[in-house]
Amino acid sequence: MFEKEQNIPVRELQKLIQGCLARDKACQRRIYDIYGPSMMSLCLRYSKNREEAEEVLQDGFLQMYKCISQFKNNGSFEGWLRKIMINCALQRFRGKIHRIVLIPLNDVQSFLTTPTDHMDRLSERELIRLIQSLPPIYRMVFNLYVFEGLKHREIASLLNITEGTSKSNLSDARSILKKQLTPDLKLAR
Amino acid sequence: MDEQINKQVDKIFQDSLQSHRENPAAETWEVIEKQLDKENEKAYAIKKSRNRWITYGLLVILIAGPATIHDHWKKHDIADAIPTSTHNRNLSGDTQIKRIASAINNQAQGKTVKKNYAVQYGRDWVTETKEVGSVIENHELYAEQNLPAKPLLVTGQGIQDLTVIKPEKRPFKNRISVMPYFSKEFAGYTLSDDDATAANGKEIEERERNVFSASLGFYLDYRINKRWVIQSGISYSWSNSVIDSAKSYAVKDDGGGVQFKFNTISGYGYLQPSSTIQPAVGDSVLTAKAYSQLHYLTVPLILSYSLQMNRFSLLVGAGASINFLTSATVETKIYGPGFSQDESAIPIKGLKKINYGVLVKAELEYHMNSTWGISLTPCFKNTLSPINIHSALSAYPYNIGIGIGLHYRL
Repeated sequence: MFEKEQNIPVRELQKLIQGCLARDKACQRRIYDIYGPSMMSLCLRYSKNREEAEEVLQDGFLQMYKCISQFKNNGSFEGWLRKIMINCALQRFRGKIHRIVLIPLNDVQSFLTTPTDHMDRLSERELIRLIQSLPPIYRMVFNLYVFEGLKHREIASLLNITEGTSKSNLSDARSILKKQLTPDLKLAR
Repeated sequence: MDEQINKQVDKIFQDSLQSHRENPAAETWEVIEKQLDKENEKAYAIKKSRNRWITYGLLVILIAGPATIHDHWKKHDIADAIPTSTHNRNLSGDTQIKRIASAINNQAQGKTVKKNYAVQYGRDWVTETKEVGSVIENHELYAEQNLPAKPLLVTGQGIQDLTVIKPEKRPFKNRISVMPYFSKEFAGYTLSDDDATAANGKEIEERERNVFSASLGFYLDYRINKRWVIQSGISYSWSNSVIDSAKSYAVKDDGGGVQFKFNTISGYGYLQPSSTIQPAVGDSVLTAKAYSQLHYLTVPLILSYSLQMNRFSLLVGAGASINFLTSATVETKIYGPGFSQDESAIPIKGLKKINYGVLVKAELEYHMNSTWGISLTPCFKNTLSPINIHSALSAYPYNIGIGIGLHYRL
């Protein structure tokens, strides 16, 4: 939704997709080179660290090569690939046992690996690290709501939680992040 | 206020990460590639196994199908003529007579019909088709006349001793026929440029054209009933193409050596200049106009519907075929700096040994007499999968043929 479509001519993309259908290694590599970086960014947001993100990326690309025949040319390929990556991240999330911990806002600082004081000084990597530092369920809800634009009803269904829990998790995630972003935001609250 | 701050937080993340890109580690692709290789191997193994089973299946159908249908037909005839209990050989002679007569009576009484009936030859029972006539007699009367213990045909003309009726010389006359044929074909390829990195795919496609295709073979027809016919047989087909002059570049061959690679629509061949020339990767030679030949043995299996019109009959059918590659060669002449050399019978590589196709066929036959007929046979064939692998283009050959054949009914 937020990533730009890669600057790749439609015809070339179609050829690459055809190549992937024929299991052509060069085409598979080219697709990976084109979409790998943007998908890596997405996977980083859904994972707790880089290692996990790379595993999600691997799963996502393998899944994409396997199911590429299901891609209909009438939509955005990047959008389709994003969905696959998100599904892989969700599968990984569902496969793990997560303890849902209620965190007092005062203790939020302990979850952050790189505390920062002001948003101006935050680089993209640091912002990603902030998201990564969220408890898994908060991270999922935050990503799905903020970056994918899903409704709480949809998030609840995806994560097998109630709509109320989704709202509450988003609120908590925001509170944690707000505290890290700027003292001004903290004060405003 | 809270809502506003929330939106602000969301926006910070959205704006900052919207265009964020992060290169994955180099090893990530290696892991993906390894996994892909594994899956490709698995897919290839499944495909190979599936092709093998399809081949076995078609062979079983070809061999066992007609036999099963024949057997079923025979059993059906006997069942029509004899109640189940008459198969019991332990019945007394009189009982057998009565039951057979009864079967005939029950089925044909008051009608003039042709009917299957049972005849005993020695100890064996067989079925034959004869005109029964108006069967009106009551079998009980004949049983009372102390007739000999052998089967009888009960007709309007009286009681006939079946043991003196000779079986027909050809009980399945007209059911099986053979048709040798020759077919001239107009061939082409449906091409799919799978290799997006192969810039020369289009060029290969444009410089090759089919000049002659034909098939020679025979069809074996088995008539299941009045309307339906199963056809099989075997044919030898060949397809010749001309390829315009072009440059061939030296590449590493499958064995690690360096040879000039000559691409055709169906595959590729390695040109072998004299042993004194050792090309390096990227060297090129000019090839003269080339001639390629593909030869296949085809085994079709077709289900056809038959329409009779006096001396003419029309069969319209569709089916599948297995095509076995028998040979694929290309010949040309190469020109390099200071030399020219003929290249003959270069094997075309990258072709599948077996591929599968579908075909639709019509057959208009003029019956010269009850045994011989002459047929005009238009046919359309198309392959279901590409005939080649590891080529710049995936080629799906098709052809439209018009054949002429001579029918002989066994």
